[in-house]
Amino acid sequence: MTDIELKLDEVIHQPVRTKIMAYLINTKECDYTTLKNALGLSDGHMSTHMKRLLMSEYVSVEKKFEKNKPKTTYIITAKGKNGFKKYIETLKIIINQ
Amino acid sequence: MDKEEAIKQIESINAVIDSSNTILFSEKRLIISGIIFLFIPLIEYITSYLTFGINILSNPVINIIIQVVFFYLLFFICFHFSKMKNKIVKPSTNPILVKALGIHDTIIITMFASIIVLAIIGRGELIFPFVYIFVGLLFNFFGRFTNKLVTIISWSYIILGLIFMVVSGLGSNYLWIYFMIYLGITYILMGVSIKNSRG
Repeated sequence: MTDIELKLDEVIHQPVRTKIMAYLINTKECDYTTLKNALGLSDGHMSTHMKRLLMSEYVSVEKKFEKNKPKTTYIITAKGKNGFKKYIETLKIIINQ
Repeated sequence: MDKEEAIKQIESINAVIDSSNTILFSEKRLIISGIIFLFIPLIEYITSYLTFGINILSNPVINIIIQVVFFYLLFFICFHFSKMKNKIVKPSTNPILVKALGIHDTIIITMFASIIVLAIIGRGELIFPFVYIFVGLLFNFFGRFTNKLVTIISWSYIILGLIFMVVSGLGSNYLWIYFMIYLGITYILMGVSIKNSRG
C-alpha cells in the first residue's frame, strides 16, 4: 500500500459514487430520476450512495413540487467539486508515477 | 491502486462525463461542412453559366425564394448537419443543455423570420451577416459543451457578422467569398480540434 493510495478519497473512490460525482461535476445539478436512469442505477443504489455523498457534504439536495409532483434535485457543492478535483489529481499522480 | 487501475478509473470518469452531454459536434461532419463551404464560391462561379446569361434574379419572387432557400440550407449545413446525435444517454439529461435548447428554438425562428423579411424588403446583402451571427450564437451556446476553440470561433462569427453587416453597405460583390472561406477554414479547424481532444 502506498502513501498515494491512502490519499484517495474513500467517499468518491467507490464505483457508483465515482459515476454520480463525474455526472454531477459536468451537469452541476440533476434530478433523481434523470440521474438514476442516466447511470443505470437502482433505487437502492441511489438511496445508499446519495446518503453517503450528502453526509460528506459533497452534494446538496433540493426538494420541491413540480406540476403537483415531488421533485428531488441533487446539486454538487463546492466541497464536492474540490474533492473530485483532488481525486482526479491523485489518479493522475498514480498514472505518472 | 496501480497505474492500470487508475487509467481505467479515469476512462470510466471520462465516459460518464461524455454521456452527460447530449449534443456534441461531430468532427467528421464539421470537416465535411468546411470543405463544402470552401467549394461554395467555386460552385457559384460555375453555376452562373447555367442560366445561359439570363438573369433570373431580376424576378423579385424568384430572388426571394432563392435567397430564403439558399440561406436556410447554408444554416442547416452550418449547424444541424454538424451536430451529432448522442447514442449513449436519452436526450435532455443535462439541465444546462436543456436551457440552451430552449434558446436554440428562439434563435432558429428569429433567424428564419429575419431571412424572409430581409429578402422581401430587398436587403439581401444583410442576410449573410445575419446567418453568420446566428450560427455564432448557436455555436456559443453549444460550444461550451465541446471545447474552448469552438467557443472562441463562435465569438469570431458574432464579431465578424457585425463587421460584415457594416461593410456590406460598401457594395463589394466579393466580400461574401472571404467570409465563406473563413467559415470553411474555421469549420475544418473546429473538426480537427474536436478530433484531437477526443484522442
